[in-house]
Amino acid sequence: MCKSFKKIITCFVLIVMMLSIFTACGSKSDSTSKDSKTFTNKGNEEYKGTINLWSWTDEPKYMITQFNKAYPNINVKFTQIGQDYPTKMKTVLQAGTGVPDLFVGELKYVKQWLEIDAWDNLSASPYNAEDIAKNQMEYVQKLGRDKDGNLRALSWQATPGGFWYKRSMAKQYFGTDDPDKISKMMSTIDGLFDMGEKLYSKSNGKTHLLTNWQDLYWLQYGSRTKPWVKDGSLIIDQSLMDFFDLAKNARKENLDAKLTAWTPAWNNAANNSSIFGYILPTWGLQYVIKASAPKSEGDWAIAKGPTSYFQGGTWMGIYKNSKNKELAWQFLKYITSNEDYLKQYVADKGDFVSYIPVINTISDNYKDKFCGGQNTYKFFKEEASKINSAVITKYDDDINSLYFNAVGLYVDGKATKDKALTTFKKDVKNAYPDLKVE
Amino acid sequence: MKRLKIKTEGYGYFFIAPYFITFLVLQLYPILYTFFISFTKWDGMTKMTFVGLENYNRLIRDDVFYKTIGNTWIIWIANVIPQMVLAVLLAVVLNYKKIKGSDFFKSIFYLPNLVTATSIGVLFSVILDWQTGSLNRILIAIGILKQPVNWLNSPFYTRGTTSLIQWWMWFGYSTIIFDAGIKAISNDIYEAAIVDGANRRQTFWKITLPLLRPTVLYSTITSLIGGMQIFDIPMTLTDGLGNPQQSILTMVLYLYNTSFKRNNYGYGAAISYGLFVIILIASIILFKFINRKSLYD
Repeated sequence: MCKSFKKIITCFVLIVMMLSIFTACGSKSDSTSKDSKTFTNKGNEEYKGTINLWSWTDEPKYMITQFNKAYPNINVKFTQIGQDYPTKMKTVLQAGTGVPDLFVGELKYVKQWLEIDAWDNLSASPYNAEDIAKNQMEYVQKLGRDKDGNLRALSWQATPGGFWYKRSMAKQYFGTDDPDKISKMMSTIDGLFDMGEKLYSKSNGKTHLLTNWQDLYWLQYGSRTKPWVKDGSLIIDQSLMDFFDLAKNARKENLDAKLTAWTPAWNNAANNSSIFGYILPTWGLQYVIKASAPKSEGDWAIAKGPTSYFQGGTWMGIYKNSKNKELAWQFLKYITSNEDYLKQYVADKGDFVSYIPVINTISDNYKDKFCGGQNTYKFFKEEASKINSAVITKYDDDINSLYFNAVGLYVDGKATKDKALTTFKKDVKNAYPDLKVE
Repeated sequence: MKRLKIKTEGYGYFFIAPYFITFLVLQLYPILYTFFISFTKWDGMTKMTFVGLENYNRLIRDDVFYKTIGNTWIIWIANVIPQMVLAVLLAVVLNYKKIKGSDFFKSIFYLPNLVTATSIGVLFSVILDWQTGSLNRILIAIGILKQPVNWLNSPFYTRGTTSLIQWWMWFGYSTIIFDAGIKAISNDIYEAAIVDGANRRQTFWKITLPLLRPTVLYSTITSLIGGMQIFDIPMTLTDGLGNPQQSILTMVLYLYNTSFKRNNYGYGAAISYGLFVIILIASIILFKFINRKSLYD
């Protein structure tokens, strides 16, 4: 009698444990925490509490240190997730538990998250973030809006691009290192190609204009008038069709140093004479050039290519079901619109912010030491105002990679243009079966 | 005198419970849930919608899926045959009576298995870089090449590299398994054969190999199951999309990109079950093939 009783108890416990697993999976917390629709106006020291912030780089560390100088009693717990960030965020958002109060979205996936209602509506009260947005660069604040036009995320930076070049090489091969003169030389695609050919022949084949033909893509990408996907159909803008031949010519005319982006060799090209420069946005200076060639201070400058473009950028929003929205808002408000903080941020980090009042204060007298005293702020301010971000979609990052692959086949001579296009369309259809692809 | 009998019934369940609970939660439940997902359309963030067999319908007609099957098989076969051959030879050699330090060698051979496959993938992508990779530099310096070769732009060499890395990482493990298998063969058989006048080659072919059959079977099937799921090396070696020309797009890489890159969990789950069916069928065929005539009682 005793033996079977023990058996029953053990079996029962096991079954209960199994059942609890299956029931646990189903429940999703449908909590719509109705936060008070107004925030109280307090002195900065009176805000007390802890909030969680997730990002994939360590940028927030600086922000938190500065933030705590103004708001000493808000404890911001930062977790750097690393490369796995989008997957991890998707998992917690789907589960509905463990989501941080503040989290970022890079340009690559910010559109996806705007769609799924993960961030709270900042246009509404009590945030009233339109006050901040109207002082931001237009293209930046546009990208943080959902399909109804409400602000969901704000960015503290803008990331327009240009051609970062080495002054010593410019003097050597083109007779001048002045950014305005160089910009004039590369103000058309033909001009750019002329420079590339001159560089190659004068250096006896040792130096190339670009790291690879893909650099030219960003110029074409920035001059599009049509997005990749509209109303569920794939569209190839003419400037991207032109890119096929542009890339092939770049290879043929030896503009291309054949370095794959983001490899150690590509990074190191900042140090040697294999390339004239990089086509990169604002963050290229800090994350690529300064990181790889810290000793080359003063030898760099940035010029405007044939088109204005932008690449990347980070937006931050408040989780829709956060329990600490008021505190989170203090942080977000601070890093995107507090003028003293932003000015210090520029002085310490050299980043290009998107808050126009601060840009205007700085841009007249800004001198970047690493760029030989060039006023890069004035440069970026002008470039950023020309950017059209309405053509960005959530598919862009993936479709860009597939397009590179197809153009690569054409450049390497492995396929005709038609075959490459067919391959591209097939790849897009395979990746996104719901899209209409002719 | 009463015999003291320790009541052991029922306690067994407690001892095996931890394993089974872990298995249920971390393995069986995800397996069943994935099966469920394969009948839905889900992007991992919004609601799931039930779509019945639509994902499987698409799977059967999917050219890319068949290509990934081919890729995975090619990479595996190019890896497993040299691996098994070398492992058997090494195991036999290490069991010659005069070899000193055979344990030391076994440890050395096993070391590559301890390195994470991801770091090897990244390492090889740097070594094989077109303009600046060490391989090109060395070959040009020796004079074998005049221009650098874009190894990772060629399907043949990229697949070959993947197979090579797999081979390098796993031959040590197979050697140890075969070594155990050889040690399990009774010495009496060898002695009897030597008395009958057999030389080394004959003992190898007529005694060692046939008696190693169950070990070979085990080794090949586990290699098959692992090889069909190869993922980390194809992902880190090139651009994560299985290029050049999707030649190293393996089934699991395809599944991963579909689910986590393109947010199509339903179809990804269907791919994983397609993979399951393939591994199952292949294992059964392999089992029947290697075990075709039983040599034992």
